[in-house]
Amino acid sequence: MTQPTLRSAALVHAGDELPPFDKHVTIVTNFLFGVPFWTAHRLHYDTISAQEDGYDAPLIPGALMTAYASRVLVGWAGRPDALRELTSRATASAVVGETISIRGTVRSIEATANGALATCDLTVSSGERALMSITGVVELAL
Amino acid sequence: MELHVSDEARTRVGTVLERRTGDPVSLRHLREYLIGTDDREVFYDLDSAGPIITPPLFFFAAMREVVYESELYEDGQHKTTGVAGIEGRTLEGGTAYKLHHPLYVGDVLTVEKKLTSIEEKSGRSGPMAIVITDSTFTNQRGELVAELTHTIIFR
Repeated sequence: MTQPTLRSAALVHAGDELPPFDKHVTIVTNFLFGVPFWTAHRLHYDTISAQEDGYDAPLIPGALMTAYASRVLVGWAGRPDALRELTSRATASAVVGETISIRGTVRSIEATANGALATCDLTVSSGERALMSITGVVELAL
Repeated sequence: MELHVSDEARTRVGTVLERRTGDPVSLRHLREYLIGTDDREVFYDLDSAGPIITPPLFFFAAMREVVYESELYEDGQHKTTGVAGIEGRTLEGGTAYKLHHPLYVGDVLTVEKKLTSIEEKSGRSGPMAIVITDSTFTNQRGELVAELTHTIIFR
């Protein structure tokens, strides 16, 4: 396999958009994530429990949304070890049956001793509803 | 489940809640995670004879504790979510990851989790406790793989 290479900072500018990400999340999606993440909480797979807690359907795990966001960031940066920091703040919940969308832009680029770091702002949303705001810092090549 | 914060839990702020060494990271677990996150990036060559790198946030899944059903609450919640002595319905508040060193298949992680704060307050939906923990994840060579600040809201 060809070794993955980092995106060059020379080709990146503040305001650049990251590749869009959209995923329709189903109860099967929750199950498939729940296996490796060991999600035992009923809220994520039991409709009755979710409804007793005031939701229409099982809740999509926040960790799944941040995993999707990390995919966007390293896919764009070009290497799986490019992600240096990721900070998320949940603002609303989403349930299975909704489509999760992630949109991101480059906020700034900072030169370092060995390359550059790009700080990116991402929003996770379902339709018009913002679910999570994320800041990611990824390494770029000079 | 009603919100309950015990006096003992309050006294544990600033202390280490757990230090635990996990199982070696397996190819099977990585395969499940890639499928669970619908990740088809070419980075992750599961047939490689060389070191196989894992996705950046995989380390957290690798160190999730696996326990018997009898050790879970009735609603399936893990009793060590947050901190022992705090009970209630949980919501994800936020996460802050710092990633220092890649994690590979075969690596063995040790997590050390500290209770940073418990903030008890009244929200629109009633009383809540905002619990913040800080964890470090170190591999078998003593290299710091990642740091995680995790905010969980108990209601």
